[in-house]
Amino acid sequence: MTWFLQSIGIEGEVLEHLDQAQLAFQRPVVLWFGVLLLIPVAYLIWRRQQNLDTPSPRFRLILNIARVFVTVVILLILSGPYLRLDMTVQRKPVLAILLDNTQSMQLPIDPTTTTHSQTRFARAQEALADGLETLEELAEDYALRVFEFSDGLQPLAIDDIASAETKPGNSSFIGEAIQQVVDDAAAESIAGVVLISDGQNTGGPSVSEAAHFAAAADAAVFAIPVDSNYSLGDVSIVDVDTSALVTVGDTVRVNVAVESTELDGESITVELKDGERLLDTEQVVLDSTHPQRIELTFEAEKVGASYLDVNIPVLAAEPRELHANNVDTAFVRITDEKLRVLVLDGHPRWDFRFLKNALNRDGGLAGRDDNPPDVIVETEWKRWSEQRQHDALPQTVEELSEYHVIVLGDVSPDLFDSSFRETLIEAVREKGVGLIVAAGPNAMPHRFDPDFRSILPVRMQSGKSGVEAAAYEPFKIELAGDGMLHDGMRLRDDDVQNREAWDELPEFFWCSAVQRPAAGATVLAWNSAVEGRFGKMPLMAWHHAGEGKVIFVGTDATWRWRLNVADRYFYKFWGQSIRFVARADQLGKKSWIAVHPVQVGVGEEAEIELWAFDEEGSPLAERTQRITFVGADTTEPIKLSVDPETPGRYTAKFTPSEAGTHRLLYQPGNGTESAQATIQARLAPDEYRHPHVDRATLELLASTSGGELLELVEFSTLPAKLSGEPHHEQIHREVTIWDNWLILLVLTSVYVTDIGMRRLTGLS
Amino acid sequence: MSCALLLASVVCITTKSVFAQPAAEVDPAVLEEVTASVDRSLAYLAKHQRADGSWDGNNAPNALAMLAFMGRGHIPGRGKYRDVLRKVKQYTLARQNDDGLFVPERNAGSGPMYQQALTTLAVAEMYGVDPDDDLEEALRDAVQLIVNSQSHNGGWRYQPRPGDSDLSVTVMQIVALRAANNAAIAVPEETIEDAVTYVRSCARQNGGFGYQGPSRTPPMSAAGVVSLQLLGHYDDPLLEPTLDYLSNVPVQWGNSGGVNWYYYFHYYAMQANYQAGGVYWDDWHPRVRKMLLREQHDDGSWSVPPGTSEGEGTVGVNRVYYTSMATLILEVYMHYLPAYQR
Repeated sequence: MTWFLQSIGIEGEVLEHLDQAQLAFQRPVVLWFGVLLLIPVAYLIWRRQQNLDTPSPRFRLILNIARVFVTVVILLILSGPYLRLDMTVQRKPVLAILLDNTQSMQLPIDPTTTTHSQTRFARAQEALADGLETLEELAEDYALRVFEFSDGLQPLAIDDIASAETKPGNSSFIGEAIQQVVDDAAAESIAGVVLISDGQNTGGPSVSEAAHFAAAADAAVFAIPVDSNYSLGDVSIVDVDTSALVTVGDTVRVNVAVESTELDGESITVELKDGERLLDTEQVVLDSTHPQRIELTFEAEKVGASYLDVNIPVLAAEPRELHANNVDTAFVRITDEKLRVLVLDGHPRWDFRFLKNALNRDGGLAGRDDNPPDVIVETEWKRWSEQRQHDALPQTVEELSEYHVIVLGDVSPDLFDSSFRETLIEAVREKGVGLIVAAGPNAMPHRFDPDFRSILPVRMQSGKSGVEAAAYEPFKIELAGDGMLHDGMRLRDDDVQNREAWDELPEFFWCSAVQRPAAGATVLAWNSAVEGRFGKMPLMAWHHAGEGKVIFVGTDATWRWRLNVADRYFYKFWGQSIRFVARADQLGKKSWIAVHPVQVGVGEEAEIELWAFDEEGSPLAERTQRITFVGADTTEPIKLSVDPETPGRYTAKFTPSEAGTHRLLYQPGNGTESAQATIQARLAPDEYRHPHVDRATLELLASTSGGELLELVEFSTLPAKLSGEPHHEQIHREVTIWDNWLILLVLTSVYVTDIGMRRLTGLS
Repeated sequence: MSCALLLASVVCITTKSVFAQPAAEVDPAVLEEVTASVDRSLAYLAKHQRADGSWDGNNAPNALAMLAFMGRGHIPGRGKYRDVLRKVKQYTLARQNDDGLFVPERNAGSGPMYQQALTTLAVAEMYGVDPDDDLEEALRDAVQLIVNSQSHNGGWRYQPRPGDSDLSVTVMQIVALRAANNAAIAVPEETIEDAVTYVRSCARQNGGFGYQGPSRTPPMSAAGVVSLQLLGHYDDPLLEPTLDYLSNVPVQWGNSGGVNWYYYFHYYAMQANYQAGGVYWDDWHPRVRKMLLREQHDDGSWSVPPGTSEGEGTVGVNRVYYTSMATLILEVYMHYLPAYQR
């Protein structure tokens, strides 16, 4: 019935209070006049139809009724009937209660007590069940909306709170849950949002962002941590970081960040393994006051892809649920040839200084002569003799193609004359030399000709070098959807941590005047503060230019990413980008498999990338390749499709359905090299990475939004802390009831039936 | 072009060393506290800048203030302090004579070379964020003057000419030359080699450096360590015993333990421990940070501890020198000034 009424336009408050709605007419005079005329009109119809030669009097009566009915309907339409609702309603402020139902909420609240099996979620349910009276009291004064949430909201009836048995989610989107309930209540007043959680936000907007969002909407958040005086004993690997590509003979450094709780003073051993082979160990005395960074090293000996396990043996005090966070994986590709890199910059700007030093430290990179990468700064170059200037730069496509990657900073056309430009363009397009263009206010790329700019993945605004931010309104980098998945943009291996890292990068004040991405280019990051007629301004992008890959970096201040973390993000970006654009010939010897990310949640999608070569080192040309997934209990084939842009590269998506360490095997036979990779599938890895209850985050959320941190036992004090009272509001609503499909259908049906019957019986 | 510094640093950085080890991560809450403190101090400095762009007639406080702004990521022409840096840049360039010397309006009694080194360092760093040809020329001239002023024993002294040497003036020239090298300004190889020789000549074999020869005071020991580190000698056997010695110097607001030149000492000691990394850094920085945060005035400035020697007669009136030095010490967490990065 409700659906039917809605379909004819009766909806909203009129539908809700249909019993109080009144029928009215827009033109009552027409109605009354029409009713008065109806009798003579009906008589005339009857009189006229008396003369018709109909089969029977009953048939004639039907025709009369049809004509009169059509007349009545037209009369009703002309009089404009509508439903009118005039009433006074009580408006209650919205109070949303959000109950965290995720994997981390399944951790035991206090294993030392007799109720040791009670989970955080069960404890929260119990507290709400105890506070049922409070909830009912709240429901009298407020529009109470209760939800449980993980990566989405699920409404709960008050009576179901204590008994809800929904499966816990794999991610906690606290920020998104708050923003959604605040958004949904946008047209109403909000008394507050009650968040019952362990404070672990593992996806979606940050808690800080949500707190500001709530504060702007006057929605105070009352955060209730679900914990006890007991803290779980746990040691967790929270980050593993290493160079993705190294050369045989290099000392490979694997940096590991470890966090612990309640285990201060315990000595642990952090192990680095390649399969069963122990590569390095480091003893650490745990200190819970800060994350501890450990460096493990080994010498790269064998060419190929290695999935290294970083492992901390489980301690007796760690709950079973947290054993999985003692393991992590690092991916390292070992080659027997260094990437040869040429860096050209206009002047020794800070980006150049930091990049030059970082490149020198990178054991996988070299110049044309195996020394550190070749570097030329235009300000110094200008002071050289003509001969030296000439000798410093490669002159032919062949010489330029000795490099795998060329990094162009803010160089001017003086250094970069037209002949060099043509050579460079040819080297990129024809020989596959990788190119990274880092823009600058002096010359790059606005002072260059259209031919050069045509190899960039962006199109520039004409006559403009760059865009300056206002002194107090700096720009902020916004990671694009494609950027999240891009090899160069992985500041952290974990997706959630990676997005957080980009969100937290410092602001900047200048960007290149990009108009739009080039056709077919992929935008990696936006400057969302600047919009033109093509939408947001691309800040970083890449595309294929012929055989080569080109990345454009539209800011001259990647050095700002060093804030508080030194080279960590700065060189992650540059090192990975250089490897991404590098001409692929040095890889063309052995097949290998990469998995992105190497650690994934059960049920989450990972991308598998296979580089397949024959025994001669040439890329395979078949349209598909097969690899085998080997899990604990299952073995299944996975079909990969060739990348049409890159011969030898095959990709597929894969979703592990069971937790554990799984292998991916490529065994093509026919003398072709086999390869294998490892993927760690965990049940909600992010949920258990930081298993403690994050009271600090909850406190920040509460204080920023104008709310308060409450303990579970203080739930009954909530009514006294809420502001906002029910108020009365006069409602006046009108809904037209003639202008809909039903009236049209009835009118046309009757009229068409009438005409049809007349035609069939030979009447005019 | 000579790339002595560059090559030396490359060799040392790529070798696994007991130094430059990864250190414990600093708590984000601590970093927020440091950032807030630095922002307050920069607000103080901006407020006390004179109309001509300087803070004092002595170029040292001016250069240190410039560095303090850049150490937080502020640059000329952009952002909140765009004009502060633009004005001090114009002032600084105007003070340079044809010999490359930044002539101070007021000397501190010891000659201009302290000021010359600090100003050269500030100009070298500013040139990295402001590609102004005038800055490049000023930097080249200033570096040439430093190179020309090196004494025969490899060190530098108060006056811009060869003569005798002391480690206190020498360390400042070394930092300036490192910054110039980073800025692709050629520094002769022999200048570097001679400087290393001189720094080593001031060391005691069981740890510590002296002012003009083997001895041991906290400020000179910190200066000696930083000198060798920035010259690329991260694995020099003199470093470990000296760092061990420094780790026992009391971190107190005053002159205890021989810290007469309080800010001078902590400026170099923080750098020395940062460059060393590992347990040295982990042990040192929290103590210094807590002390400085505790002693900051509400207006963002710092004073000089009682009983120490950096009086107003030496470093200039008002608190610009103290505030700039304290700010630079705290800005080690920000990893911005290229000359001081590992």
